[in-house]
Order: sequence, then C-alpha cells, then structure tokens
Amino acid sequence: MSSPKVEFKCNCNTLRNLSGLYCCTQCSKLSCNYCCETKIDSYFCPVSLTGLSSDEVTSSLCKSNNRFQCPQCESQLVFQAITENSSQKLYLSCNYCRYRSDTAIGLTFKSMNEIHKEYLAKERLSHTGNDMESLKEYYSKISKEMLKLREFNSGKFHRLLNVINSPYKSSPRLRKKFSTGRNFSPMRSIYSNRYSQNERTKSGGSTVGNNKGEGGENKDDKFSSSLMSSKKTYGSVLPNSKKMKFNYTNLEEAIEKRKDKITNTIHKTEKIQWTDQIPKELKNKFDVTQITSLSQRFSQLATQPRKLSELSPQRIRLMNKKSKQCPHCQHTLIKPEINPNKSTFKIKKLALMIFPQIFISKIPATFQTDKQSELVISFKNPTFNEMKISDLEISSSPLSDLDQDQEQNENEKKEETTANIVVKGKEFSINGYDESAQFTDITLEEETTQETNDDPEFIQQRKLNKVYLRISITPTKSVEMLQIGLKFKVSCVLQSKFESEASVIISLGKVN
Amino acid sequence: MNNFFGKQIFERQKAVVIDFGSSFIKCGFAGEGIPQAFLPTNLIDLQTGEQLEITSKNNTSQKKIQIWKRTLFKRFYSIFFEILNVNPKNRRVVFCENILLPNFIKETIIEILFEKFHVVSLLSVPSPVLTLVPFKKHVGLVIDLGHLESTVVPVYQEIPLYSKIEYCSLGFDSVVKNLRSVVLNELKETNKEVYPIAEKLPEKIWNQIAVKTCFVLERNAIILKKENKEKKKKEFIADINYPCLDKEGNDTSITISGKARSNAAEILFNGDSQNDFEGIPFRILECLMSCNSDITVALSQNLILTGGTSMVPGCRLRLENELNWLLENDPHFTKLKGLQGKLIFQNHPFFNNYLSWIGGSVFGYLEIMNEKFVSLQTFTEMGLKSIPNWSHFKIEEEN
Repeated sequence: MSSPKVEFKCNCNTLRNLSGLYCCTQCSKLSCNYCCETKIDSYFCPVSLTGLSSDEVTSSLCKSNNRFQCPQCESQLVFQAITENSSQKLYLSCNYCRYRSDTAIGLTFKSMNEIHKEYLAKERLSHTGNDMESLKEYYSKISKEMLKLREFNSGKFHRLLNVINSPYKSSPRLRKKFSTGRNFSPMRSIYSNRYSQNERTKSGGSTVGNNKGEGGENKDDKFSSSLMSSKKTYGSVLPNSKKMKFNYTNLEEAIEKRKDKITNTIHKTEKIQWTDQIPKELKNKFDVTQITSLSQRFSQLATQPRKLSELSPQRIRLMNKKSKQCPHCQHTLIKPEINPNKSTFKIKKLALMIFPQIFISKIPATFQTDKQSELVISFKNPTFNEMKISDLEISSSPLSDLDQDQEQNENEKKEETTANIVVKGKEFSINGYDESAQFTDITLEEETTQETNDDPEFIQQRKLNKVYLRISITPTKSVEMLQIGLKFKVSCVLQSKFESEASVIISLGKVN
Repeated sequence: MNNFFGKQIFERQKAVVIDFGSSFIKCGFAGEGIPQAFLPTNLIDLQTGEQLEITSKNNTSQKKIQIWKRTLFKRFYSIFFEILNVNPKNRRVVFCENILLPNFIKETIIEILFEKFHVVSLLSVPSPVLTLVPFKKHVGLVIDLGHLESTVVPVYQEIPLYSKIEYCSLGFDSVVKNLRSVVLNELKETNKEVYPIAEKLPEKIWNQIAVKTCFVLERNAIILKKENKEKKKKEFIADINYPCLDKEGNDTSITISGKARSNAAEILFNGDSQNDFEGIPFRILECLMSCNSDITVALSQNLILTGGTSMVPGCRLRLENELNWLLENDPHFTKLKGLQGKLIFQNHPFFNNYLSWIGGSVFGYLEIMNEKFVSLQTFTEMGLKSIPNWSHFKIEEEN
C-alpha cells in the first residue's frame, strides 16, 4: 500500500517531487536531472580535500596519489608509524576491520612521498604494460600498411606513373615493390574506407566460398609485404591462394589434407592465468572466509587473487563537482564553489525557492464509491513577497496528459472519469514568508480573522504563509489508486516579475 | 593540452570504451591495458523498485521503453560522471555490443548517448570481433561463456558469420541454480534445522558460494565415480561449511558437500535434459560441422575461450576432454573425426573477464578506425534511428 503523495510534472513529462526540480528564472520552465545538461566543474580528492586540475587527473588515472582504500571492507586507510631500532616506518591500517598492511603483506614505507614512486609505478605497469604495448604496435603496423594499400588502390600512384611515362613498368624490381595487391586482403574489411567505392567487390563483403578461390583474384595484382608473405602463421594471415586450393566440397577431404599444418603461434606466452589443472587445495577442506569475493577481486583487476592474504590496498577514486544548465535557454541553474572544503553554491535556482509547496493536510481514512468526502490541501509560499495563483483546474483523469500514444488518448477520453470533483473557486493569493512573525506575539487566531473576504467553502484557513483549500470528491468507480490532476498559474515577484505554469498529480489511495 | 615552448600540443583525447554485459559492465579508456571498473548491472527501476530483466518479452510497450530509458540513463550518468570523471560532450565512445542483446536496448543506448549526452561519435563493434584482438588473430571460433547464456560464433577476417551461430541458455546462472537445488535437497534429509535458513538466502549469496567453492573435475574422475565404484582410486572431495546466522543470532553453518561442489558445473557440459539443451561441447562441434569446409580446419586450430564463467577452475581441460571424447564416440560427428587431438585453444596473458574490452581499447586507439565512427552530425542530419551493423559498409540514404 503506497502512501498518498504529491508530484510535479517536469517539462520532459517525468513526475518528480518538487525537491528534485530546477526552475530557470529567464525562461520560467521546470527541468529535472533527466533533461538538464551537466558538466564537470572541478575535481578533488574526497579524503584530503585538495583540488586537482584535469591534467593531474588523467596522469594519475582518475585515482588519488596519496590515499588508499582497505581491500577487505573498502573504507579509508590511515597512516600509522612504528619505531624500529631508531628508524621510523609507516604502515596502513583500517579502523573498521582491523586490517594492517605490515602484518598482512609486509608493506611499509619510509615516508609519504615514497609511496608515490615505488608502489604506484608497479600499478601503472598493469595499465600500460608490455603486453598492451606489443598489441598496439602490431596493429598500428598493419594499419599503416593498409593506408599505403588504399593510396595505391585509389589510383593516385597509377596516375602519377602514367604521367611520368614510367620506367617502372620495365624494371621488375620496382614493379614488385609498388604494384597493387590482390583484391581480397586480410583486414581490408575493417580498414577500408566506409564511403569509398573503389575497393568493393560486387558482392560487397566477405567473398569466402567463391568458386574463384579467395575472392576474385586479378592476375595483374601482386602485393608483397612482410606480413602477407609470412607463411609461418596459420589463421593469422591467409597464405597465397595459388599454392593452397580452397575448393573443397568434402569436409573429410579438407580435414585430411590440412590438419597437420599447425605452426607456431605469434603470441608465445608461458604464464597461463586460469588454471588448467585444479590445484589440490580445492579438493581439501578450506576456510571460506579466507577466499575473496567477486567485488574484492574486481578492485584489483591486474591480479584478481583468490586468497584474502594476497589483496593489497588500492587508491581511492577521485570525485568531482558538477554544474547544470537549462536545456531550453542555456543559462546556468546550479554552480558550486570550486573550493572543495565548502559545500555551498554560487548559483542555486531550485524550484523549491519559487514554486509553492503542496501538502495534503486532511484526507479521509477510506474512499468509497458514491460517497462524498472532503480533502484539504495546503499551498505554502517560499518567497518573501505575495504570490498569486490563478486558473486553478482540477480533473480526475490526469493520465491522459502523460501518455504519449495518441491512440490510447482517444480511448481514455471516452471512458468515464473516476470521480466527480468540486472546487468552488479559481483564484487566491498567499502571503509571503515573514521572518519576524516567529518572534512577534500575534497569535494565530488574530491572523485568521484579518482576512474575511474568503469563501469558507473554498478556503478553510490561512496561517502565516500557508493557505488551506477544500476539495470535495465523490468517486464513481472502485480503483486501486485514485489520482487527481491540478493545473494552475503562478505569478510572484522575485528580483523581477515571474510567471509560470505548473501541473501536479496527487495520488490518494484505494477506492473501495 | 601542453604548453611547450609557447606552442600548444593537442593530445588526442582518449576514447571511452564500454562493454555491456548481463551481469557486469566494464568501462575504461582506450589505449589502456585494464578497464577502470567493473560495475554490476543491477538495473532497478527507481519508481517501482523492480529489477529489469534483459529479455525481449513483455518489454515492447511504450511505457516499458520509457522505464528502460530512465534506468539506462542513470547507469550511464554514473559511469561518465562518478567513475570515469569525464565530460561526455568531448569524447568518442566505443561500444562493445553483445550479439544477443535485444534490439530495443541497443537502440535506447544509442539514443541516450547521442541525444542526452551529446557524445562526439560512436563506434559499435560486435564482441566476437574484439575478442580476437589480444591473440593477434584474424580467424577464430569464439566461445563465450557468460552469465545468462553462452554462444559459439565463428569469425573470419573480422566478420562474424551470423548464420552459423550456436547458442544455449547455459551460463553461470544455471550453475548457481543447480548448486542451490542440490544443496537444499541434501539439507532436507541431513540437517532439518538449517534448511529454512538456507531456503531464504537471496540469490546474491548463492552466487558468492558458487564462486568460492565450485570447480570442475576431469572427465575420467567422474566416470570412475559412476561406473566403477570398486576401483582403488576414489577422488575424495571435502565438504565445506559456509557460515550464516540463526533466527536467534547464533552462528551456524550450511554444509556444502563435495558432491554438490564438483557436480554443480556439470550442467554446462552435459546439458539440461529438462529443457532440451545440449551441452556446450556439443554446440562447438555442431558449429564446426555447419561451417564451410574451407574454414573448418582454420577454425579448429584457433579456439578462443572468453567470458567470466570460463574462469571456473578446471574448465578448459574439461572442455578439451569432452571434445575429444565426442569426436571419438559420437556417431553424429563422424565427419570431423580427423580433428581428434588437433583442436587447439589459444593462450593469452590477460584474464578471460575482459578480453573483448581490450579489443575495444585497441580499436579506440588506432587512427585508421576514425572513419568507422558515426558522428553526432550524421546521426542528426540523416535522421537515423540506429547505427548500421558492423558488416554493413556504407550508410546509405533511404530513397
């Protein structure tokens, strides 16, 4: 059973509490987190509260250089000192789970600056290590060769040759060097220009299974490079099609003739991270609490250890401060202070400061069909000046505004409304927030008798900066959740005149 | 940007690489060797609190798509602003897509990235193509053991052959469910006090138990158990106690027997007879059979294992055993008999968890891939609703 609640409707058709909305004073429109644009303003370390520039963030790989995180419980680690034989050593300890880095791994430092050099240098190897560098080199080599191929195939070089009236055609050595390759070459599929038409075969794509062999070879084209002619690797580069015939129709024949052509792999590695054979420790009894869980392993992606004793402290992730912009007129809505010690804002345009807050003050215990019941709603004015509310409309079928399917709209309009709602009035004004009212001796009774122009069936009471309205509801159907839609216009005076519209949905409860 | 003797050297900003899996999202920067973070994909609707499932059933109405949009927006917001500390307006994004992700999820992700975050350009590559990159290979049979399902995809010259895919819904999810049912059945008979506690444990804890205790035996060991009980060699596997709390708060423990531990992952290899799933080795050989006879030998020597489930200890050895046994004894695969003993699983120095992410990192680093990126301008000018497939080479205007 959900409790009754009041939700405002943002410009992007999402429903939110008023505390989650922003209001732009220039274009007077509401926006929420889902529709406004965010940008990062500044970075800071959450533990030491020091600011960082964006260059430092990229060089330290988004993590702070001096602060560490407990590997077992992910809380902050603190430096503590031991004196051993008149020399001081530092170690890390956790106040929450009693983790100590010198007893667990034997990790001690001489000074805070030393950490920066030794410990972090190891970690960075895993991010930009030898394995990754060799991959990048290999692929950038291939891409350079493919760029050359593309130049030749696009005809530039051929045009040049024809102009110069080439001696190249006669000398076979140069012809071998500069002639274009076969139509089908490895990795041409990904390295081809997306919008170019010169390289495509008519079939457009892989030409495996063509009767010609490896996809339409032209006899004039011979391309030889170091990669292409290497026959050492099988499966990494396709061998010359003249020597290997690919016209097998029989699977068994294909297997017989080619199964023994196994060659060395390019990537010789001796260490195999994942075990081929099960370690004997697994079969015997072990303590489950000494084994890492998945989330503990994922904090150390380089090693992913299985035992708790192999975990090491990790650096804490940096945080940032964001600023937000109105999506309609590009003015800033929220701008925080750059100093990480302060949590205030330079610019703060929340809807809570401008729009009236709506509360449900009296609601009947149960709703029953064909029984009239009374609901009392209060409007609260957050500004210092008087606020006027006009064009108040209340309906009992608010969902038709939210649905985007037009077909559904028409069907729902034909349905009966779930309740008859009567409100006797359309306009009223609310007093501003008066700070001195807390300290004066005016009692509440005297205040309410001051304004007697109100219709008592419309406005029940007025208190300081609140107004209480009466609404009478007679539900006609039994529904799981009775919802009422409110629409009104707000006009008030902030630094200048401000006018806007708002629509609200109040969900009340079950109707028996 | 560095000021070097008064000149400004513009370093090209690193692209963001995101791999969207069913149980974990991997994110990081291009050019690096390890992702920045592994986040669990708990897609929970904020308004109702229910968890969203990645299926295409019951998910096609407009209302549901709005809910998916909001939850995916929240996820990407936390990836960009809270973990990677990056403004998405200036960055290119490489998206490693799973082949079996439903279409509506892919389209909402692309919409969110372009329209809400205003990303500079986007490249989406299917993950089998990316898993070949760490091996420096261009041809391979990619066996992906995931959380919800496992797939076998042959890739030839960076083009996945979609018509020859084999898949089955056996993943770590089914291993966990198997373990749970076996342990609960045992507890019913032996220890009736602990049974109600064990029944109420949530799925997350059963997941942890399976990660910490399960492993896979070799094929010979299991046959010894079942057929020849009199033989001297018996594999002894110990029980393990998993600590938990009583109703009153006292410490008790759930015993996970050795039988349950070693048999939980059998479902991957033997298949699920209730739902008519064949095991994974069967799927691999079926795929090899169905491919063109020109490719099969090349594929059989370039078998590639990826996915988190393949890191269960003993998985690779068992796969080799099963494949060789099937080639010897199953009459369905007589054509492939020549391959017995010649199947090769490739090695690499990384972990199986993030192999496709590394491929995405290399692709985001290369300059030649710039033309494959779809920029925000083309997306808005041409009024596209989605990005063309990887094997489609041109963006054609619709006439």
